[in-house]
Formats: sequence, structure tokens, C-alpha cells
Amino acid sequence: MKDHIPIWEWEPGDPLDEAHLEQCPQCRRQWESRRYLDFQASLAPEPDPAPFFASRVAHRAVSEATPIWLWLEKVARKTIPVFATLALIAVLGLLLSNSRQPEPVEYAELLGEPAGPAGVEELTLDDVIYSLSLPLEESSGENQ
Amino acid sequence: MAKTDPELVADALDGDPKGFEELVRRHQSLVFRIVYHYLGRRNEVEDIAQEVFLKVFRSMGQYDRRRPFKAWLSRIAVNSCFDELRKSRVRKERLFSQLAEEEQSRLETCYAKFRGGQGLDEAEAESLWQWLQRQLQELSEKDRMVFVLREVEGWDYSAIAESLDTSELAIRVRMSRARKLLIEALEKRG
Repeated sequence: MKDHIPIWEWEPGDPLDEAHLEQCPQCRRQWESRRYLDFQASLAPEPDPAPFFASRVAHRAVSEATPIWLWLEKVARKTIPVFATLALIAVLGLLLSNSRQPEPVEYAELLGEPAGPAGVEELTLDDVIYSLSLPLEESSGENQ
Repeated sequence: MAKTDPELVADALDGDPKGFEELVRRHQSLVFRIVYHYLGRRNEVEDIAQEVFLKVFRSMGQYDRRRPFKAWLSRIAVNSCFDELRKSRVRKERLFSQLAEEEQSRLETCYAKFRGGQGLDEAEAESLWQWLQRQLQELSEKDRMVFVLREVEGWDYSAIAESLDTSELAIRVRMSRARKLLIEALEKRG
């Protein structure tokens, strides 16, 4: 005789070896139990929600809801894009301003001083403007 | 035209209670069925179903609107059933004690009628269903849920896998195991 049929694995629509069922009392008994089990499952009663269940639950949900989380979520959903745009503009602005700042070495070169780490660190924009303005004042005095 | 579930969720999140009420109305039967058929406690179904919907309301912000609302709701209902079962394990043991003799004889009548192709009256059907509920208590909590969703609710394996957050293969294995145990229980009863 062939192996027993795993009755518990059978799904509606699967082929069933009826010839084997005819010959095998164990499989036949299990098949009968399986049919009875399916029948029992089909007897499940239908639970009916009370007539105003939905409105009662909705009312309770809204009244119990902590306004803070609802409010925070609402505010977050509306303001996140605005904050994200502002942050992007700030980052772009920062990058742009950094790229436009002249290299300190150039000022040192303008003054005719040797460019080097020590000289560069001490030189400020005011120093450069001041030093550039000196010869102009002197020459204007000479003209007078 | 009726609004879709994701549209109703959006309404509810914008503070419209009618949106949420409509969602509850649409899906209350699904939740009632899962809770009742899984836990088997008629008098507590409404309270537990209400808790399920309150959880849904509180976590609606996490719902991914590209996915079916029903699957998301089912997952919450299933997890609530597991929580409820763990809370009430002691009580359950008291509820499902030995079968009374009278009930035993009624079950025998049911089986005889089933074999003879006769219909059952309401009390007999109720007894048989209660008997199945008691057998289901012997299964692990997940095997029981798989059996209920598949055999009682008629869900397909992929939907069950999604609700239990596991693979379809794992669900089929659980289903086989559950059926095998229940068939053995039926055979032991004679």
C-alpha cells in the first residue's frame, strides 16, 4: 500500500487519491475527521456590532485623543517642507559666502610681503584697506 | 463617489471625526469577526474591538497610505488578540474545563447527524462551535490565529502572512500543524 495521505495538508481544490482512501482505513478515518473539522469551522457565529458602535468609538477616540500629538503631527506635516527649504537656503548661502571669501595670501601679496603662514594669520581686511589708502593720501597732499 | 480608505484616514488626521467614523463602520465586521472567532468570548468582543479601533486612531499617523488599510487594520486586530490572550490566560483555563456529560452526549448527537447528512439545530451548532473553541485553546497562539483566519474567515495564505508579518511558507506549516492536532483531538474523542 502507498504511503498515507497527509490529510491535514490537503487544501480545497487539491487532487485527492480516492483509490487510496478506499483501501486505507486510517486515511479514511482521518479524512472523515478532516471533513468534520471543516464543518465545525463553518459553524462560527456571526458577531454583530451594536447599531451605534462606529459613532461611539469615533466619539471616544476624538474625545480621548491627546490634543498635543494631533496638533504636533498636523503642525509637523505642514511645516516640515518650510523648514527644510529654509535649511537648504541657509546651507547654500553658507557655501556661497565661503566660496567668495578671498584667500588671505592674496592680500599679503598685494602688500609685497612674502606669503607665509605667520604673516597671513595676522593680516586682516582692515589692514589691507588701510595700507592701500596710504599712498593715495600722500600723493593727493603732494598735488596740493 | 465614496471616499477611499486612505482619503478617510487623511480626513481623520485633519481632525474630521466623520472620516474616522466611516472607517470604523466599513471595517467593524472584520474586527468583530477576528476578535470573536479568535478569543471566543462573545461578551467581551465589543470592548476589545473598541480598543482595536482606538489603537488605530492613535497610530494613524504611521499608516502608509500606499498600502491597503484593511491589511494594516488586521495586523493591529491580530496583535490586540495576542495581547488580550496573554492577559487572560488564567481566566481562560478556568473557562475551558472538563466537558459536562450532557454536552458530551450532545456532541455525539452532532457527529451522528453530520455523518447522516442531517442539519444541526441552533443549540447543537453552538455546542459544536464551543467544542472547537476549546480545542483551539490547546494550540499555540499563532497556530490558532492561522487556523481562524484560514478556516473560519476564509483568508488566503498571503493575506494571513501579511497580517502576522511572516512568510507564506511559515503560515502553511502552522496551518498543517494546527489541522493535524485538531484532527487527532477529534479522533481521540472517538
